[in-house]
Amino acid sequence: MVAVRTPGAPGPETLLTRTGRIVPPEGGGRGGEENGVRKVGIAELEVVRMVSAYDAAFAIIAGSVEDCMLRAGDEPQAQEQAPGWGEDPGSLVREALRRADALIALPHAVLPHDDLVAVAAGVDREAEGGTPIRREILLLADGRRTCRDIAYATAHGVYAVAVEVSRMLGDGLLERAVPGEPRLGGAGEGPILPRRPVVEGAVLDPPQALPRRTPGGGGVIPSRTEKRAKNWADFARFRDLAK
Amino acid sequence: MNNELTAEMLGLRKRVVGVTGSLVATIDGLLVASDTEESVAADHLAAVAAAGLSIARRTVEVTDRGAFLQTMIQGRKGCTAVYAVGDMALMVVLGDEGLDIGSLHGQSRPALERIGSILTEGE
Repeated sequence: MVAVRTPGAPGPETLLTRTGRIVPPEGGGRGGEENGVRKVGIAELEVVRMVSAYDAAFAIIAGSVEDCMLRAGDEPQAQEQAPGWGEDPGSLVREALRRADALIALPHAVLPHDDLVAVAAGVDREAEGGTPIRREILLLADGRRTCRDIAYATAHGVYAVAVEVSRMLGDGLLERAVPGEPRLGGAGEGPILPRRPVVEGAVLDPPQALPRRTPGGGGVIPSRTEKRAKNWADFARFRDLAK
Repeated sequence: MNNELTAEMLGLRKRVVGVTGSLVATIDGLLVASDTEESVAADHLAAVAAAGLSIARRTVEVTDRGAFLQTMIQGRKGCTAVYAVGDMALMVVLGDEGLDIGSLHGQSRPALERIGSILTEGE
């Protein structure tokens, strides 16, 4: 077995890019293991792939499977995804079962893909924590995330996060949360009706005849009309009056 | 209307692995309901999604690709899917890097039909 992929646990790409071991290519590209600038050697890359495969096998056992696909080694997609050394499938499954048993044995064991966790009342998410993984969990436990979601956000394995969350529940740092109700917006009060169809040629306010100006209609002083000049001689007279 | 709508949104997040939130808005970008993280400005997202949906619909039209289904925008840390809900509304679904896109498309179709009925019927 050279690779196990599932939406239930972060794959090697997530683990490598989120931790800075691979810098994604500038301006596009999928940012997979083979793209971008790789800052790890072949050996470390192989270790990350195997860690991811073991974690994915645990996630499959801990969660529910709707569909699955087996890719044989001679398929191009399988070769692209995992040109690694491979692992014995039996040991992969045995380790996944051991991890599931170890998690269940914890007094406050969580379901990694179902249980939502939030910071317990009275706990300061900035100050408490201790180890780096605990601090990260406290910062991300907002009542909307499961262990799987936190694993993706922090680039840790789902198993490691589930164990730590279970212990933190026991320590009183976290508590199980119920899903919060979605918030309603301004358009959420009534039904959304289709627009009324546009009537071709219809006008809301048919134009009347154009307005016509009338003498004095604008409040002009009547006496001014009497002073209106009738010829050039009047202009001269008005000019003298103005002086 | 509200309870049924919010139940559909919560159900989608619960059923599909990797869905981190969703919102429903009118085609004009007015928010109807949101189930998103606090860091996401739901009002802004509704407006941007409406603008994007309009462009996507027009693109489908000028390229003669048939009826519009959805847009999928992918980033390094996840993706954003925008679905049309009938002619008058839209739904945005946010997912992380591990989102099961096949499952999302499979689960979203019946959910969109139900949400469309809820929105037009109202109370």
